[in-house]
Amino acid sequence: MPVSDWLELKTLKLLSQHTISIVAAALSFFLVTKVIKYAVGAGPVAEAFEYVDEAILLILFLWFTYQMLLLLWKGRVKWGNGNELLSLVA
Amino acid sequence: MEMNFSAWLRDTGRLYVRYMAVGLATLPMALAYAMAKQNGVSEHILLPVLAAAGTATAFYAWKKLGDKHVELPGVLAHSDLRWTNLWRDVEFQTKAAPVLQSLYVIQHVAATPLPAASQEVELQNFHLIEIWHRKGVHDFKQFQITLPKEDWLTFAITRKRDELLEDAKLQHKYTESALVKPREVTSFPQPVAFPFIPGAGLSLVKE
Repeated sequence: MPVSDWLELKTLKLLSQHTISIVAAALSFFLVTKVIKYAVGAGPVAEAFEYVDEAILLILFLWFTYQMLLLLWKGRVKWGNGNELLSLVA
Repeated sequence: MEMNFSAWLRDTGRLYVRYMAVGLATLPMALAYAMAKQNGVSEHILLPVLAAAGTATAFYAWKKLGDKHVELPGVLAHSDLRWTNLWRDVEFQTKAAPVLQSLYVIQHVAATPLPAASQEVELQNFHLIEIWHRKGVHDFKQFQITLPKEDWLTFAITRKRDELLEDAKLQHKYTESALVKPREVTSFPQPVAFPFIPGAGLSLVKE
């Protein structure tokens, strides 16, 4: 099956949206924990927040991977679902 | 172009909110992970548990927020000249084929009026419409809904997909004895594009 069947324009658009969103979300969590760690200073609480950050980023990455695979799988299915109508009315 | 970009940006913003919700929902688990790790619990146990519980929570949070993307902006559609042309063609097609044996397909939803002979409910001014909702490659849900006979197609087009499905479910709930119960559909007809609107995506499917 050619790559173009998997990566049509709509799929690429969704992939870019998901990538930007996950990067923004990960950065948000990273910055928030950074600020908290800076506020509480060095110690066990700061260390705990480092682990919290690690865990959240891990789960976000897992979820993002799942979403990517799901998008690629859905993009494989072509059956004329009327998405082209959006370009007519938008 | 501007409109497309703003729509793209809006959808990206929604996705960002959903990813943030996933992150926030897993916060209690992350705290538990941090505490366990500080107490020296092995990573070989912690990581699989965190991944499994986190993914389950993420799935719930993602579903809970739902996909609010409006796939067919009906209000906008009427004011658009290109849509008007499309509309006229649809009406023409409908009038040209009084006995509708075709499916109207839009966004994973297909609707068709049932042939009179197979109808269990025959209302004077309404058509019993059969709706397929395609949820996956081999995953179909079928509903039935009564719509105005004169302009069932108009009705189906201007309704948003989710509203249509919701109506169908509600109608089925309240007139369960009168309507055929939903059944699993094992095959789905392949769509054929309108010949007069190349690439328009509005499709009729021969049964």
